[in-house]
Amino acid sequence: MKKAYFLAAFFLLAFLLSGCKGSGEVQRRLVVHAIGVDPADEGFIVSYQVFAGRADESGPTDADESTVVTLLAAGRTLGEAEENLRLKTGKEVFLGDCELILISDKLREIGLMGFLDYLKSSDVYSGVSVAYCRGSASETVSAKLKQGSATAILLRGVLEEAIMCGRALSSRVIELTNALEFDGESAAVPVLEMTLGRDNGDGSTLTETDIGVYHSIIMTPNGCGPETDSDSAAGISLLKGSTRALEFLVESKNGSADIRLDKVRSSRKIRIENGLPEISINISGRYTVRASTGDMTDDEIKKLSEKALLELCSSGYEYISSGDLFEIKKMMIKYEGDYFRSKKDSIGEIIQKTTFNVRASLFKY
Amino acid sequence: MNPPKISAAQLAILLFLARLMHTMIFRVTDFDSGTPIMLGLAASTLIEALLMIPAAAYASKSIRGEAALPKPVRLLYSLYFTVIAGGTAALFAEFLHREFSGTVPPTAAIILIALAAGYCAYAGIEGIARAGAVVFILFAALFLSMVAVSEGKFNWLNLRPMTRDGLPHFSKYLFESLSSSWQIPMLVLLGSKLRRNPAGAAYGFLALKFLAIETLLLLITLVLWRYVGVLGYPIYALGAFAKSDFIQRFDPINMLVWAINCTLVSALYICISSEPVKSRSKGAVIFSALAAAFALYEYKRGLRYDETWFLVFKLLGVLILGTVVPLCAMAINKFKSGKGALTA
Repeated sequence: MKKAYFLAAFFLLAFLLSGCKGSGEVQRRLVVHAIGVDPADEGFIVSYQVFAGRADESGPTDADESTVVTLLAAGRTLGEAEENLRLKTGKEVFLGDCELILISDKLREIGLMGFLDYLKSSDVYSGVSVAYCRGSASETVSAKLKQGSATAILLRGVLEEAIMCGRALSSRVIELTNALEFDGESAAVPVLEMTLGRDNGDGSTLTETDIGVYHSIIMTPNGCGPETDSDSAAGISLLKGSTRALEFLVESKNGSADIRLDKVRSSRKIRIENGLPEISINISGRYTVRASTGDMTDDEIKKLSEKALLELCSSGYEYISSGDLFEIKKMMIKYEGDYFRSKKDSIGEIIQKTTFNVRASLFKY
Repeated sequence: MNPPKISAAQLAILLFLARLMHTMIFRVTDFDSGTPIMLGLAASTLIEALLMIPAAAYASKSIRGEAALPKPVRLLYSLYFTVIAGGTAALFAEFLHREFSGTVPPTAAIILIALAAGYCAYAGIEGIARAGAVVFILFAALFLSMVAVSEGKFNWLNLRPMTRDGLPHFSKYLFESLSSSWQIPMLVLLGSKLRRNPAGAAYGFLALKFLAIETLLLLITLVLWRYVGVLGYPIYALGAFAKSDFIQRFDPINMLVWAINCTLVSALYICISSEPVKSRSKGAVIFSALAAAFALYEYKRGLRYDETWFLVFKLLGVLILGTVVPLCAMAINKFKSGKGALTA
C-alpha cells in the first residue's frame, strides 16, 4: 500500500514538470527568431523569420541562411497576425526564442506602447531588443547581405555592435517599458538601415547590400519624437552616462586620427543653480589611435579627442526638449527630492531648461 | 526508539524554505519596488527577531521536555497550519495556471501536491529536513546562476532615499511581511524535534531570510524596476533577464524547483499539523485531505495573496500562536512548578 501510494504520487507529480503534458514535436512548432512589422491597409503585415530545420537531419542544427525562412501573416493586431500564422501553417507559434523585434519606421507615428503591450503579454523573452528599420521590415528580415542572410543573430549582432561603439542606445523590452510606461521618460530607439547593393549593369556586383545603424528615433510616452543621427545618439548616450566605448575621427591641419575610447566612465551629479537643475558630468576613459595620417602629436590627439567628446555631448543636448531622455526626473527625485516635490507640476518644462556642465579627461592606452 | 531529532541548521533551512515558498507565490501587479519595500523588510525582520524570543525560549524548554501544550490548543495549531498549507497549494496552482497554462490543470496540481506532501509528511520530520537541505542547495544554485547570467544593467538611480511618499508602501509591505512570518509558531512546535540550540535555528533563519529576500529586492530595484509588476512574481521575474548559451530560458528550472519546494513545505505543514493524531499514517491522510479541500475551495473562490482576511488571519496566528501562547504556557508552567515546590 505504502509503495503504491509513493509510486502514484511520484508519477503524478512528474506531470508538474514543464513540458510533460504540453509537449509537442519540434516539427509541429514554428520557432520564431525575428519579427518584422510593416503597416497594412488595416492593421499590420508581420514577417516571422522562422527556423526551418529538416526533420531527417541528424544531430543539432543551427539557425543559418539555409535553415531560416520568412513567413508573412496579416492581422489588425499583432496577436491576430500570430493567430493567422498558426492557422495558415497548422503549427504552434513559439516566440520564446525570438532575438529581435523590427518595426518599420513607417509605423513610428503610432508610438511603441501598443507593441510593448503585445510583447509583455506574449512569451517573448523580456530582454529582447526592439528596433526600427528604414522602409520595409519584411525586406530587412529576409535580405541577402554581404555578410550573408539577414538572420536574427546577424541583425542583432549589427545592433549590439552599434550599442557597443556608443552609436546607439540599448532598447530592450524591459528598458523601453520601464522608461516609456512607468517612468514617463523618452528613449532613443535605433534604426537599422539597409544600403542596397548595385551592379555594374553587366550582372557583376559593384557594391553588395549592407546594413548598419546610422540613426535613432526618439520615442516619448505620447508617441514619436525627432530622429537623430549617430553623433547625436552618441551624445545622448554620453549625457545619459551609459557609454562604455566609443569610436570617432579627429582631424586638424596636421592630419587625422581614428580614435577608439574604451572603459568610458561617466559620473553625473545634479544640483540646483539659480532655481534650475544643472548636471555636472565627468567623462573619463582611455583612448587608442587605431589609424592616423599626417604627424599629429599625442597631446594634440588627446585635446582633439576631448573636444570631440564635448561636441558629441553638445549635439546630444539638442534633444533636451524631447521629453526626459537623460533620466533628469529620476536624478532630481534621488538627489533633490525637496526641489522635485516643489516643482512636481511643472517638471516637464524644468527638464527642458536643465543645463549640463561636461568635463572630459582621457588618457592614452 | 528515540523520537526523531533534527539539527538547528536543518530547522533554520526548513523555516527559510517555508518563507521562501511564500515569496515565490507572492504575486504583485503594481509593485512599487525600491527603498520603502527594502526598509519594510528590515523593519519586519527586527520585529520578528523580538517576537521570536518567547518562541525560542519555549522551544528550549520543549527540548528538555519541560513544556507541552494542552490538546485543544495544539489542535488550533494544526488547523492554522492546515489553512496555511491549503493557501500555499492554492496560490501555487494559481502560479501554474498563470505562467504555465496547459501544463497541468490547477485542480490536478493541488491534488498531486497534497498526495506527494502527504507521503512526505508520513515519512517524518527527519526525511523532510534532509530533503530540505537538497532543495536549499537547488534554490541557491538557481538563484546564483540567474543573477550571474543576467543581461540586465544596474540603474542606481532607482535606489532613492525614503520619503514620506514611500510610507504607504513601507507600511503595506511591513504588514504583509509580518503576516507571512508564521515560522515563529512553527518554531514553537518544532522545538521538541530539535537536538539543541533553538535560538541558533531562529536567528539563523532570520539572517538567511533577510539576506536572501533583501538581495532579491535590491536586484529587482536595480535591474527590473517596475517591470516586475508585468511579470507578476518577483523571484520568477529575476529569470526574465537571465539568458545564457547553455540555458536559454530559466522557466522550466524555476518550475521544477518551485514544485519540489511547494511539496516539501506543504509536507512540513501537514507533518506538524498531524502530530496530535496518534497514528502517523492516519494523521498524514486526514490533514493532507483537509489541506487539499481547503486549497481547492480557495482556488475556485479565487484566493489572492493580498486578500485582507487571509493576511489578518495569518498575522493573528503569528501573534497568538507564536508569541502569546508560548508566553502563557511558560507562565503557567512556572506558576505550577512554584506551587509544586511550595506544596513539597
